[in-house]
Amino acid sequence: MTFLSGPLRKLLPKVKKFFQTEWGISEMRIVVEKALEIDPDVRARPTLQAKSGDHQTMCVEISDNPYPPQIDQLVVDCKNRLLPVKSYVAIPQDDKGVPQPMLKLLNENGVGLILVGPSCKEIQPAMSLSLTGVRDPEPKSFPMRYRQCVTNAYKTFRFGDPAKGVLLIHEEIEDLTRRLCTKAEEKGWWRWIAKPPTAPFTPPAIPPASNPKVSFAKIAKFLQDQFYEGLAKMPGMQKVLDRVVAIVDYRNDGAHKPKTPAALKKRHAELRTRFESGVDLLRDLVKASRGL
Amino acid sequence: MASITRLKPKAAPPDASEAVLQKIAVDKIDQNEDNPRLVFRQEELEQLLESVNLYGIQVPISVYRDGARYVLIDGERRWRVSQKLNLKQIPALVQPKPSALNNLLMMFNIHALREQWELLTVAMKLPKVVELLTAELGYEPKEPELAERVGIPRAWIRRAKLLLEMPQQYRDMLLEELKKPKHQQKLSEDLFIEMERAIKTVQRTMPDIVPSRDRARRVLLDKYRKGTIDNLVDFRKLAKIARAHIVQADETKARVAVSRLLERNEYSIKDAYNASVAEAYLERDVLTRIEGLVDRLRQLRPEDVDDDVKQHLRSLIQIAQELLDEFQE
Repeated sequence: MTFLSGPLRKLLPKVKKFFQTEWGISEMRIVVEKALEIDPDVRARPTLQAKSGDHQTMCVEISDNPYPPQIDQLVVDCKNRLLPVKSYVAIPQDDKGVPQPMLKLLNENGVGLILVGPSCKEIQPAMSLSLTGVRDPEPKSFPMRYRQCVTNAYKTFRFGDPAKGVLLIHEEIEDLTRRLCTKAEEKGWWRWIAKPPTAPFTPPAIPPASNPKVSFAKIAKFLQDQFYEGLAKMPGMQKVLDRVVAIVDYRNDGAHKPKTPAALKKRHAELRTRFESGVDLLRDLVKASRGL
Repeated sequence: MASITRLKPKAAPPDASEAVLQKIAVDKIDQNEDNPRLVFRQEELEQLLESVNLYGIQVPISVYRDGARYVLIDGERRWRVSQKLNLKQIPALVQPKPSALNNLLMMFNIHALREQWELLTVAMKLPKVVELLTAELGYEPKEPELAERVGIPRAWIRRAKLLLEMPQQYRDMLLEELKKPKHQQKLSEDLFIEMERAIKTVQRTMPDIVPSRDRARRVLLDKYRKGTIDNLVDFRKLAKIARAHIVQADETKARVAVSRLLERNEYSIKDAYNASVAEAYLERDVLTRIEGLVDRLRQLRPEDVDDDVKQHLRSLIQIAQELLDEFQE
């Protein structure tokens, strides 16, 4: 007995085959209408579920409806519990196609879509539901020149590689920080100039920010220590620079592959936080640097 | 009264007042294998799921206890939805375990009162009800008795029996069709019932032309699918052709029309009817109406006849006179 009516039940073997051919999951590992193994309290039992090689739980809901009501519950629960679950809806292929508003809804919620005809065709990829809750960066809150970068980073995070999405934001922060350092050198916005020490001293060597071989960490730290916001007339920049230094440590650790489902869950939570805090930092940095 | 007394079951059904309301684990409930309901439309299940997700289960299901587990009596859709939503518990009225016959009758009666099931699903369980009732009563129950016990009208039982007479392949075809959302269904129970009745009549009166009901079914179903037969009521016309002798129509013409219907692809029931018995039935219809009118006119008293009626009567006399003159010429 399954929740599926007769005609839909016929799609089951084809979708199972899809698990095998596209995701390399053998039929023995596919579970039918059972509570999610990763969290048995989630209020949904997807038609099919299996664990993929990268510790994601892959779920497929078979339905006539491209956005069945049971999907909502699954999406909300997985989002709230930060569960690394990729959810798809599989619908029978017909001549009518999928209505645009439905596709938009699926897209917004990170749910993929599979059309089941003679074979299965993935027409929209799914994203891990633990990542879908990422806050919209609201590109309109940025000056024009930054909007494309923010939009690209958001799209990359949601529909491509989330780590790469975070990296794109961090790259923009780095670029602006380097420009700030170059400008500070040019204008002399340094602490030792604003408040020269009474004892004789040698001014520190300013790292050449335009040289990409000089590490971002070095530039950020130098700015944190020596930049003087009063001279630059950039109130609040000091606190923003403290936050810039804080992202340096984890800026490049996106490539580490999680080894367990718990590690994957943790990794997704980190990526979401890093993306959101990165966007906030970029916004504040842009604001404090007054259109540098 | 004697017959009603005779209808009372020997083993009384479990008293519903003995039922206890409990919250029981969804995973401890089993489907009732005797549930006559076989059709659960996905669309309707999803609507219910949405409602349960928002408001929870408002009406308890009914179950009986069987060892450590429970068996459903009523509420299979609510139970399925609860499983789908991964609910841990569901409110249920736990009733005493009924006998096999009472188990079936209870389900029939619950649903006859509340909502209409697909007739085919009722039909498929009827033989078992008859078998169990026969064992209990010591004789095979007649239609009125059966109707009373299962709680559905006699007409439904007759229609259900017609569906049961169809070969298995057609019942399966219909069952698959019923599982589709209603707006996608092309074949209906009414189609099969009307068709079956018509074929039965034709085979009875013209056995040489319809030696096999199966072939007739195939041809007529094909024509219905292609739109050559575009109305369910047309099947009644087919039965009328088969009963040509009743209206003294030319039986040879009727036989030719039925043969053509079963042989020619584009030949519809309407074509067959018009080519054979249409005039005879029209004539009978006119005669019946004239007789009715004459009877009614004879009952009229002078004070009932106002100017309007007089005017219509004059028109009637004029038309009748013109027709008679025409026929005399």
